[in-house]
Amino acid sequence: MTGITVVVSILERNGIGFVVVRGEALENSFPAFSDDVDVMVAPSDFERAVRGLRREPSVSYLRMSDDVSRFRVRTDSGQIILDLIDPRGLSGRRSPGAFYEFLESEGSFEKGGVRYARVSVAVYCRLMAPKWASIYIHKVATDVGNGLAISDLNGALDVAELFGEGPRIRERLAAVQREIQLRGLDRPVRWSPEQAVRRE
Amino acid sequence: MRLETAVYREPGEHPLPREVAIPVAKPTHRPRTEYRLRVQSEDDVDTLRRRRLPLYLLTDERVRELGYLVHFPPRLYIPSEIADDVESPFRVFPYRDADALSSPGVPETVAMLLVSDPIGARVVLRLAVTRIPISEVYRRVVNAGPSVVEMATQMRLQDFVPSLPRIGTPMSAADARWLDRNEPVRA
Repeated sequence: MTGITVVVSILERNGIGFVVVRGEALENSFPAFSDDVDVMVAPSDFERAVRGLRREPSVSYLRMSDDVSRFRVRTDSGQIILDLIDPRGLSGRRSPGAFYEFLESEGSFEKGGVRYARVSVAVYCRLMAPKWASIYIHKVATDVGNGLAISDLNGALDVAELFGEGPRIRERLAAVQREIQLRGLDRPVRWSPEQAVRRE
Repeated sequence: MRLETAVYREPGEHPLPREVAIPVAKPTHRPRTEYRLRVQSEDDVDTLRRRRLPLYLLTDERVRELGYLVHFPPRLYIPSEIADDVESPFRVFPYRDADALSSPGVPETVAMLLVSDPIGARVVLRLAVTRIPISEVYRRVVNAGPSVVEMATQMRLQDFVPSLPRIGTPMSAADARWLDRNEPVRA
């Protein structure tokens, strides 16, 4: 089984609803991702999800930092890192569960029986991360270099407005824009990666 | 005034394949034919590199070999001077240090990543720092230009190459430690 299928099977066995966010979610729009799997669960399920994962024989608990609990999951082909994310910090001025409710209903889509965050929602999550200024700003600019559409950056602002985080995200998007310029990623491009020819 | 560079065939050189080198209409007073480059495949990159044109296709396979476990579409680095003369379905990154594109090793790859994925640059350098010449990293980062030095500073590459100049503000040491613990690398 691949990393994502192993994770899905473990979470479903424990009766935990979840949405895949960040890298894996972005991959549905452009081919750039890591081997890690990042999933978000409802704030009310977070502690139960951590306990359930810690009981799994194929899962090792690594650590908790900020809003993320990290696990190592053994798969048929090796191991992957699973980050379990508590979304309460993303709800802004609304109730702690508001963001996850939005994520499950409008902010995600289903593919192969798994719910994935929409790209603009995944970008919002990155820009709201506690280490946005030192780390996630670079990741979002790198995403732009890899093919993330500017419209999805603007979409993150629309998501932010729903939670009263518009001013904060607008400021962070301006910082991303400055980095895009610094790295020369704002040069007009006419690339179409699906037409590129790769060697087998 | 501005300096312009273009792609020409050298005297005595065989014609460039028309699939990759498209002659630009030659004004009558110009003795040589200027070319635009069309780079659609990895084979096209190889063809042009054999003609000593310093184009380089950075792939995720290469970066994964260096221990950073990410996937991304290939990135075509080309000398900044000919950036407007290249069309490609690959994402094009104009690059100031053309010499670095000829035969890039780890130091050159670190400097290139500072443009396309600066976090990857720190990860790759950290993993390789004991087995590569640090002076080469210094040279390649500085030669790539001040914006690349600024990205190197933000990524605290001075942790590994203390003599690197500093431009701008580095991330905190605590955040760098967090990054070093959390990025996906080969165990």
